[in-house]
Amino acid sequence: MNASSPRTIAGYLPIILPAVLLVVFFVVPFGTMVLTSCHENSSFGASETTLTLANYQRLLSPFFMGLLLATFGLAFGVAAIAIVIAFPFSYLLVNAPRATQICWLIFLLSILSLSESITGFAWSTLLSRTAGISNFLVFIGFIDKPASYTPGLAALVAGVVYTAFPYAVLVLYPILSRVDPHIEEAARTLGMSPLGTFFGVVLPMQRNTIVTTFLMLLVFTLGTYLMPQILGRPQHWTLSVVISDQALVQSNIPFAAALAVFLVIVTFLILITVVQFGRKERA
Amino acid sequence: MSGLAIRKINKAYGPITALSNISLDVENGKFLCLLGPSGCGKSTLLRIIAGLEDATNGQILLDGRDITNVPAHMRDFGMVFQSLALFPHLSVGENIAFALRIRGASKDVQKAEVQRLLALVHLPGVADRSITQLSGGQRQRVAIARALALKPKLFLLDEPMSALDAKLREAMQVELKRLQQELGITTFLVTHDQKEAMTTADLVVLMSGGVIQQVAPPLEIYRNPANAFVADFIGAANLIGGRVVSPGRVSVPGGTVTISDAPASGAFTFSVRPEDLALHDEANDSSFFGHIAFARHLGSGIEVNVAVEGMEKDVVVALPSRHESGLAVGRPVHVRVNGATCVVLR
Repeated sequence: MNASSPRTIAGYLPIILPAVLLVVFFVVPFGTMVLTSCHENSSFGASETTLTLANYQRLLSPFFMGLLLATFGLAFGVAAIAIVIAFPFSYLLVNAPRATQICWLIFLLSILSLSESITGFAWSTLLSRTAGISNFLVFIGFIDKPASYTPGLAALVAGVVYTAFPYAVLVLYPILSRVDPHIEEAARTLGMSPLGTFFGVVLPMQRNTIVTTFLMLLVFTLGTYLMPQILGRPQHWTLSVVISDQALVQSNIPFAAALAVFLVIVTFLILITVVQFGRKERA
Repeated sequence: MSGLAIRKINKAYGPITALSNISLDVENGKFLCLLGPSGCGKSTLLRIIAGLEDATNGQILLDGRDITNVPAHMRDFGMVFQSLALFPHLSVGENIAFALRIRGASKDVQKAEVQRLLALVHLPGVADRSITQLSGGQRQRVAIARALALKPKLFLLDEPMSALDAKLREAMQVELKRLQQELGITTFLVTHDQKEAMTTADLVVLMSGGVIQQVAPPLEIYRNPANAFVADFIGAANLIGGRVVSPGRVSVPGGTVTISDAPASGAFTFSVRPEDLALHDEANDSSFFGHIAFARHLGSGIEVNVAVEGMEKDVVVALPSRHESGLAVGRPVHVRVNGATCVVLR
């Protein structure tokens, strides 16, 4: 790779626009947010000029630590469930007839076109006592009387997995479809059963893909904001929900900013850890 | 009987017939080449032998035992794929030891086998390298070593050399043949390259359109092609239509030639190799007349196209490299035919 830097200013021209965009739309707002997070809240929603770390100290309470744990617990759980379903699904999809593949991909894309709130309320109805699947379960004699499954952790996880799943498939599908089909056949001629080939060759071969997809799902789920309010109880609320609550309902912009900065930092640390883990596994 | 027997194998993909009524007996230790143009069914036949595809009907027997329904992973055949299909996440040594590992061989046994196999394919000392660090030719050797790790009863290769450059390919062909002779392992090589088939095979199985056209040793298939397709596919051949005028005498466009084993009467086609024809200024009792249409010097020889009135295609004549000049385009010449080198096609 050619790693030499351009010698003239003109050589930097192609990256000036992205650099400016990055500074204006990311560095400046994030800097503002860090600055805001170090201010005290005033009753007008504006902040005073003295700098303080009080907002961050408040974060260290058991309540917010619990909140952080719940947020990451949900994100890890959803990412794990989504990938456990999405990987075999994508693998089967890649090996399915062309027409089947197209049908599924269109279906998954149309799920993405739905807004999160529509999906959330649809699940809410589906899991409700009055109109939900429990009525069907009663009808087939599986349970005695209709029950409500929402709000609750299971409903929340189901809803978020449902929104995360298409992303996982859309990331995995192109990668899996490029894999040389002869590799599996080679494993079989060398004495591996079809199931053994999936676990012994296909999965290990895609370790990096799986780690990357997991990270994407993790970050995607960390930002989930509507689903916990529609399908979860208050104890299932994520940091994102509390941030918007602080900013919009409590009008405590500095504390909301501190929470957001905190979320970014913790996310960043976890990403680094997982990437390191993936690297070590590979060696 | 000991060896592989293929009995009336048919394969259809929906309405398309890929193989029809393939039967073949192969003695143990033979090197077979499945040769033919792309789409002739040779790869399908190999995949059916490997158990990667099911035949629509028919039977495969190995040493008298029916293996038609034995799944691929229980056949213990070594196979090398066109794409080589090495496991990208494993090192060279792990790739080669794969079959041994899943059979529970100890680490020491695996290591010793990897050493032995790498020495066998003349690639020592690379066991710890990653696949991506190897050149195309080295990967080829690793794929062969991996397939041989089980000491398989059958060694199957599906156009394994098509990705190599011409020079390396020829070297690998010779090496593969030597390796096969050393191990005495029954080998099937699928190729569309007739030179590869001639170099390596004990028996060439020439296929076209899902049907076996001829099974014969390389020289035999070259000298006595069974039909026009074989004559045309193997090497260069002139297919000439003639009509018997008297016993052994055949009238062709531009002259009359002597072919002792010509049919008693009527029209027929015979095949004659370019190197078996000669150009002269005068006619003799077995020659025909034409004009030079094109001549090219190939270094090792000269190839001359002679246009003959009444023939659709030019007759190709191969001359030795030192042939004197006088090959100007348009020059009238007599093509002399030695009847003993002509093969009558039926």
